[in-house]
Amino acid sequence: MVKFFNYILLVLLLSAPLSSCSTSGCLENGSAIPLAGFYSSQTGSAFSTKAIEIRGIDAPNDSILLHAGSVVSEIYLPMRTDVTTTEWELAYFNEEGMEMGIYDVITLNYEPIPYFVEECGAMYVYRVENIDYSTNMIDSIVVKTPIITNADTESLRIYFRTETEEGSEQ
Amino acid sequence: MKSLNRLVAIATVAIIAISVAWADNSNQRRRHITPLNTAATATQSINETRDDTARINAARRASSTSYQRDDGYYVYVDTVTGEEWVDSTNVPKGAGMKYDLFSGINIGVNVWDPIMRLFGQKHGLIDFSADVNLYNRFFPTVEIGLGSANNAPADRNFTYKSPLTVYAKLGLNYNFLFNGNPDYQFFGGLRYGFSPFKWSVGNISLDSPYWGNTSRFDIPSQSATAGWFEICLGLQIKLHKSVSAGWTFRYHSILHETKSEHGQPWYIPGYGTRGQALTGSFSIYYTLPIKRKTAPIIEELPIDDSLTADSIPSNK
Repeated sequence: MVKFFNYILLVLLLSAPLSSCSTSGCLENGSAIPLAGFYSSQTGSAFSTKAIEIRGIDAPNDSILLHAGSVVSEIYLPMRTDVTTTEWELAYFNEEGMEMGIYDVITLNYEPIPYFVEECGAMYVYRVENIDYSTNMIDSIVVKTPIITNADTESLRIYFRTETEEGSEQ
Repeated sequence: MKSLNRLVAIATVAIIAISVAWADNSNQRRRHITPLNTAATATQSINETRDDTARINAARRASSTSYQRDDGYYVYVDTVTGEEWVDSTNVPKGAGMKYDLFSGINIGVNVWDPIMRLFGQKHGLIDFSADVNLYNRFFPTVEIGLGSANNAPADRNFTYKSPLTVYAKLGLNYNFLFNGNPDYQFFGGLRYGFSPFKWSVGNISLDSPYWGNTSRFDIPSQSATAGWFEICLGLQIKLHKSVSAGWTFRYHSILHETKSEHGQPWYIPGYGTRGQALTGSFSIYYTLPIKRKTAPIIEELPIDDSLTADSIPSNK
């Protein structure tokens, strides 16, 4: 009995450092910002583009989040913390870098929830209530996580119409 | 038809009767008679009990004197050869223990947190412990303490608060030096801790550089419970009379806690801060003595030269 107790204690002591290494630093983002990935509605797979410009509606000085010409396949879309709705406008450009005059608007309605985690501090996480969008170039949007947290994972999937009716890529 | 059935029944009974009679006769023919007393039966019981240690030990006990050793075992001494042997079949309860079952009660106070608070620690307060010394080996322990937190890190965007609340731990220490000097203990132990507590986060400011605004908000008071286990390793050394002191290193991990949509508490009373898997404590103890078994005092008796082997008493 005594030897058994000694063995148990030894095993627990030796195993202690193995499970004590996961508690240092903020391994995620310091804020909850949804990461939106770009997908092709035709193929269903992720794609990269340089033909989209994105800005937040009512952002100071019409600040642009994504400039056309930058090749990206995903983008963080910062949310407003003082209201429960954030809107983003997407403008599309042709291969010559000229604005096509086609726009889409994404509207996200949510409930901000105060959240605290010691390593990363205090922040808001957002419970998504609904999402609206125009469908000029956007085919559909999928909300992958009903609560947007600071985890560095994709929260939204934006499916674009990547081919014209004639079959040529935009 | 009835007469036919009657004939069949009579024939069946007759066949059974003949079979039984034949079987009886055949048994009689096969029976063998064995003599009751032979040379083999005379030595059979001796051979069968040759290795019976209980009988052997009983015989040896009958021809020996005995005494009880300090550790509780009975030692028999052969009165002819002087050979000593320990009766391993008569093991007293607690054999192998140098000290009594109830050897004392320790009352302790952990002064680590009060000291660390003087040096700027923003959490913890004080805790008290009591343990029962069993054989100077096992120490069932209960710890009860008070904890609180009020922390506003300079480089962070919040003020964390947890009002004063009580916590308790139950467990057992095992003294590896159980047969050594009781003034020194080197022990390992296990604990289960539990605390009901509240926590809140205030003065949160959240900048949004893109949208150009700063939000200020609070996380209201959250009620929670948490349970955790601890693995302890420590030393305890006597300082003066009934006063001793010792440190303990503790590895701990949360077993269960209340989930909240507002996140996780930073500080759990009794557990400490969430990010630290290893903690320490330094305690001062006061021992309430009950009664400790001491080695018997052997008085030197005058040697009687007239004593002969025949005069040594035996328990025959």
